[in-house]
Amino acid sequence: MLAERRHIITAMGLSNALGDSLDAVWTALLEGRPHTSPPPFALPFDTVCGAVQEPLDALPATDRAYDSRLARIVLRALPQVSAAVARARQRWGEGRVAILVGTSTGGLDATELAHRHFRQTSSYMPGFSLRTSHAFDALNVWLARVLQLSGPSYAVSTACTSSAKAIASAMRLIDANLCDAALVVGADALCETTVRGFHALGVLSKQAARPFSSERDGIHIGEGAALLLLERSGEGPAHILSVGETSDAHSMSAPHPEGTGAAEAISTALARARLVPEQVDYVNAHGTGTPQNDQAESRAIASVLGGGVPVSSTKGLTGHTLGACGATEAIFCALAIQHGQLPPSAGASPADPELGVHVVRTPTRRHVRVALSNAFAFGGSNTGIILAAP
Amino acid sequence: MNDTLYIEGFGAITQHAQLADFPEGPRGDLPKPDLNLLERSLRRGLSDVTRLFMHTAQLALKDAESSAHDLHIVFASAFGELGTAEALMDLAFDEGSSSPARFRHSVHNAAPGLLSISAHNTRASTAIAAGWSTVAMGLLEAQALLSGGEKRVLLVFADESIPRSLSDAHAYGPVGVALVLSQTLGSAPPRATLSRLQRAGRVEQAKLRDPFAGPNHPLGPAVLLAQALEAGAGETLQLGEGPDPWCAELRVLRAEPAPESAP
Repeated sequence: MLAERRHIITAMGLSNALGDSLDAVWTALLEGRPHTSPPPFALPFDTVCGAVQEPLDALPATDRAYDSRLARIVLRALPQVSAAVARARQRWGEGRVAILVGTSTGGLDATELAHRHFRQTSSYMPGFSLRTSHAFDALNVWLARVLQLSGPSYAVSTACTSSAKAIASAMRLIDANLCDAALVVGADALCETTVRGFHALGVLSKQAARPFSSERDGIHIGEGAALLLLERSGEGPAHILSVGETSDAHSMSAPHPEGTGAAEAISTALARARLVPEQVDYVNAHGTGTPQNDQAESRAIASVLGGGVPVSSTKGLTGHTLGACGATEAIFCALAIQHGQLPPSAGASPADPELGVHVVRTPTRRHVRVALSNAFAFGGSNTGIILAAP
Repeated sequence: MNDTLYIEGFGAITQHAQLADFPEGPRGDLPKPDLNLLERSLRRGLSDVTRLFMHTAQLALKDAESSAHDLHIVFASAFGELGTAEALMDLAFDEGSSSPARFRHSVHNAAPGLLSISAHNTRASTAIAAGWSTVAMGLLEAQALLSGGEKRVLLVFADESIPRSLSDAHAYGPVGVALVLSQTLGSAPPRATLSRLQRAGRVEQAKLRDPFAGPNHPLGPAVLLAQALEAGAGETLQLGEGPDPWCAELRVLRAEPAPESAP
């Protein structure tokens, strides 16, 4: 028996390197062609990025205090859900709709500009404010104002699991009757600090990432926004059954080599959803494309679900959108459920035979009743999200 | 839904000689943070905010007679690892490089991640931010976790001073406050209960202490909560900002001196 349905996805919105609507992104996912571009800033090494299409519109003058590349990306995806959010506000009341933002870097893109300005001029950059431009929760404050919501509102920032854990927090708030609906926003924007940091760690590829390939050599960084409206009841393409969350307790940046924490997150999610492993029809893997990460995750998937379940990573197409990836890839799972099709794992050929998982390399028709979306992060943070058809 | 949180233990650190001196009293040097919660190999290169986290977590766990091994860790901070972000930007702009060690520790969840490693705690942890409502939202996340079946939550509020290059609008000092929370009675009586966490609504705000008086510290409400625990005085606490801020009722059950760190 499935877990009780009370986290219906009633609206979704996307903006990332693949496009600015659900249809555009889904079409690009099935085409399986990476959308990469040079980094939007000068770097002393070679890499590519998954950048959203320029130009990005600035926020309206009334909201200019909250303007940043991050907010502009969210602004592009916002119209896809705003009518549904207005309906939810009407239905539940403005104080009963929460906002949970998952972001790794917040407005660090704006802070880099402001810090550079300060170093050059010893004065603060006009228009920059730590509270409204940089802070993790700046998006919360702006969105609450624009959408006229006054429910619980906070940002979750746990690196690359940020928006997966924002989904978990949203579900908890609904379960605890602290709200009836929650807008979950996963968002991160390209910035120098992160791209340079991943290069310093030696995990950045010079090309589009190739998860699960024997020739994989690292990640490429992307950016994007993913918005999901979760409601206690309603109609939608999918619902979220459960999120399993664990810590590796092993390393700040490397996964446990056996994937034990990841496996425990998947097992916990299954148990909470009251499912057995055989009921999972598709796994959207975290699949970053580094040798270590894909190996650890494959071990986790194989140990819990076996080697037969279809697995793909979409990061070779979108780039690693960091804090946005959890919500982004949860939406990809919802789209796979809705369309009855599995997106391919771009660049996976030749597949790594050592990994022991069944990697989807071409778009594949399949009735998907239950899908799993994994996300893992610095600090040993692991999440597995289980989605199901209505 | 059970909306009462038991406060089993707490710890606090500010630049003031006495907790009661916050916010207007004279500020001195911050006491040297106690890092005994962390394995020695993990203590190198820690940021100020992570040091505040570890120090107060240690005090709260000691006060609650609890270990860090088997509870859910929530870190709530308005700005988190801001000094580390500034250092990474300086490295990029000065030398065109980065630092792997600093980058690993630059994430908002660095402190709970380090504690989970040191304590071999494989339960989930999280890190949140909500500006000047960070204290209210941290308590709300903890309440939702406990009502979902978690037995105990270590909730740590910490913010370091803001680097001058990033803002001169927030001239406040470092603050850390940690709480061990539960919703079921253990063997020892809890220090206090916190209930009715909600928007102020009809509460007369004029009668509440202003948690943002003086330097307008985003964690001011957490320090006021710690002050009330230390003084053994129950009160309605304002936990966030705005015209209709989040509030909660504190009832102190066990008035004892605030825990102190090991000499």
